[in-house]
Amino acid sequence: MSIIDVNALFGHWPIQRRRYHTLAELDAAYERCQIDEVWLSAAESILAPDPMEHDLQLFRSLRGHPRFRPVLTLRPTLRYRTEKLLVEAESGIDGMRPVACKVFPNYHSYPVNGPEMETAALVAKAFRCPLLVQIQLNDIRSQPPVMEVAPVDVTALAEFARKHPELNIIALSVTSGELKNLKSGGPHLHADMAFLDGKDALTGADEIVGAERLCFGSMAGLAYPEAALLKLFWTDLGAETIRRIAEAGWHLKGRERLP
Amino acid sequence: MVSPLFPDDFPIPLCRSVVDTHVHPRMSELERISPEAMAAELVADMDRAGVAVAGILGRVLPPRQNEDFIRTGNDYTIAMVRAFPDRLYGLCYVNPSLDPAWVRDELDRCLSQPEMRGVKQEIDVNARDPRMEVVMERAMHYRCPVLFHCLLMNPWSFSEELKAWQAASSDPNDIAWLAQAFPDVPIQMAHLEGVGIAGIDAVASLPNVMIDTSGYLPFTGSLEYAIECVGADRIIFGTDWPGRGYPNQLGRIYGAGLTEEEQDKILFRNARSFWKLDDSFAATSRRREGVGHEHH
Repeated sequence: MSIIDVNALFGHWPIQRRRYHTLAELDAAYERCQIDEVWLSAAESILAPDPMEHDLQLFRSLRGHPRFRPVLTLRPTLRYRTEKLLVEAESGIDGMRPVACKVFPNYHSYPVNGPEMETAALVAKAFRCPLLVQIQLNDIRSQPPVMEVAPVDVTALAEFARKHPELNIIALSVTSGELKNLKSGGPHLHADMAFLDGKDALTGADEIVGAERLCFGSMAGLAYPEAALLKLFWTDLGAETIRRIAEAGWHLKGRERLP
Repeated sequence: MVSPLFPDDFPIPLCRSVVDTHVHPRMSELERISPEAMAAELVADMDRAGVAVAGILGRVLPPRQNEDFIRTGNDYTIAMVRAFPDRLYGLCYVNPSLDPAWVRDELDRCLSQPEMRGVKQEIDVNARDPRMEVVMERAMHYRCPVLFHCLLMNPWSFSEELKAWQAASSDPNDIAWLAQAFPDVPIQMAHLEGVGIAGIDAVASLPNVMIDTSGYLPFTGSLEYAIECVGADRIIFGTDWPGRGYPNQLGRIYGAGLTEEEQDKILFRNARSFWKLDDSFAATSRRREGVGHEHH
């Protein structure tokens, strides 16, 4: 069985003390957990005026990496940037293709049912990769007053997904309570398990949306991959279902693995 | 019983004899489920998680419970413990805003029973409230700890109802004040991640305060800081089960790069000492192995 983590970030995040300060440290944590592939975005890209500055650094540092696959952070309100990305989609970012495009609607102040998300969908389709939508990044009760960011409206995300049945979408860091609102989004709207919690979290998620819509995800480097690994196996869903969740990323990539 | 789904070569060496110091019954279902059945459900999950002993904090919500409701909840906790006396211990919950004579009587009724090993305080009154005196005085009398709910919150997203609920809740500075006022009472400050780095600093110089790891998602940083700041002797494992599951809460401990000795202290050794868990309770040990190995 291979395990693919679709939800990971690396870099400085000012409201949380980090455990992993280098890519090597993060890589060592994944090695300990025997997680084979990790979809990694740059944490700094969330707050940067233009995510590309940090994305370029990330892409270059991950070139040829055996475990980490670069994720492009999209800020669709930057029109010049998205237009450039659409032109460059075939050649890639500095010659590399992102494994996925990730958006942070509530950090970048746009709704998931507006034109910005249509632009994001256009870019993800141009790169022929899934669109990752970060629902939240921390516990809302712990946010500092200078960065009060509500979770993404999951019901509206389901509505958006229904308009794009040909695009694989993964809701990242969705809570167990929010899952039910994802259900109507269709079979191509998936959820990762990083923020699922409570007794029998995965079994409960299977009952709500079906295990075929769940992906392994940890939100490491802001969280511990060990927790997601324990959660994956802490279930009565059966070995085949566990394998499907662990390997969901393979099936959602939409393209063969690229160098 | 351990889940057979864990592979034999599961990569994380797991401690199989943890003490979980922060567990609740499913609070909204006390009328529907017998305490014995609730205890059996908890113990089954503990078995899968490698948890030897758990402390039940009782039905502490909603706030502002009346006398009858509190007494019923405490009786429920006692009945849960009696169902598995070598696996469970109980904490008595009271609302100090009620008549102090009744609060004292209820504390005496509960703490004089072997199933109860301490007091749980939630959000009815702040830790600095003078009405806490009767609680601390009885804790001193029975030489038992007080476990206090604690968060350092930014309630910007709360509804007015939730804000009203939380009006008297205690932050780490309040807990520090209480710990200084009653230095002989051991206090378990709940929710390491919820109090954060400022919360750890607030109680760092107070040796009678233990910090529990329960609750929140398994974010990095706070546990590592707590180890640096107060050391593994002052940190104690808890989950907030069933609202929080064992994988996320244990993942925090296994992911933080702790030595085996630090893990042992946090996962069971500190709890056995703090909650005076004698040999009548299920054994804990340093034994570590892959879950699959345990199963076979």
